[in-house]
Amino acid sequence: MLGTIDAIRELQALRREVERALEDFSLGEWTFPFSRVSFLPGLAGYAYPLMNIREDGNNMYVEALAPGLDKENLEISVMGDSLRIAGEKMPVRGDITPEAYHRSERSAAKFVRTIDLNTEVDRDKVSADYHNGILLITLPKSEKGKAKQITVKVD
Amino acid sequence: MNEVSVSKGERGVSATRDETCSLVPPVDIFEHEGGLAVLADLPGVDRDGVSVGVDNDLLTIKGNVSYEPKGDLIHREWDLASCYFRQFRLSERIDQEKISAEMREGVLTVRLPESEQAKPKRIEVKTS
Repeated sequence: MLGTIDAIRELQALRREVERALEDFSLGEWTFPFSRVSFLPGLAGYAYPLMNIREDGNNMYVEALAPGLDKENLEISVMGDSLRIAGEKMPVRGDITPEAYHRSERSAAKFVRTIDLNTEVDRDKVSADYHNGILLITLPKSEKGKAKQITVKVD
Repeated sequence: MNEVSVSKGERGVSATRDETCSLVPPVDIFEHEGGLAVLADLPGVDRDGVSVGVDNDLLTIKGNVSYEPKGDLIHREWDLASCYFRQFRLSERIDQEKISAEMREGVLTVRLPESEQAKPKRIEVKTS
């Protein structure tokens, strides 16, 4: 009986070792936003680019963290209150062979991401600006979307 | 226009880390045109906010974020409230005098040419 418990303990210790070893190779311990600025293939690609949403009285602002984009291939569309961004993070020149790489952390690919704004915006007046690797989309709120102040009279 | 000046030696960048800069830029490093090219993603950094220094075989990339947001934050996925910092040890084959850099759309490119001595020399073999 004691032998079994020891064996389980040994196994658990081994498992912790392996997990720690794997962590060293995963992106987990790299400092934010190291792993997240990079375009990661697979599931992580659905969360590219990372977006912050801000608002003031008149506008919604969507800020996407996306360095090295090809502006010409960028497509931004608004449907209802959802915003769709599609584009391409440009690969390094095509003539660089895989053998020439010493490190490849940035990666590149096409992406598409849709987010809900939860506010009605004026589709015709949406504007976008790409500067220093940050895409800023300004979406003016529609009259409906603007918060209405309601004064409640207390008797 | 997009060029970034590369400072040599005098900056005295000897520390291998900077506690105030917590962002680590992802890089691609590859062989290109008889040397190495380093590409680093530094979103939010403009040309004046980036510094590239070479000292003692150490290449230091530093970037200060100059992005100023508008409005109140209602949803957050990223935060650039800091600066970027990363260093690389250079091979002795690199000609440190000829390092150049440029910044474009948040991506820094540093070109590290190999010195002439490091390049392979073709020796003609004559047969009589």
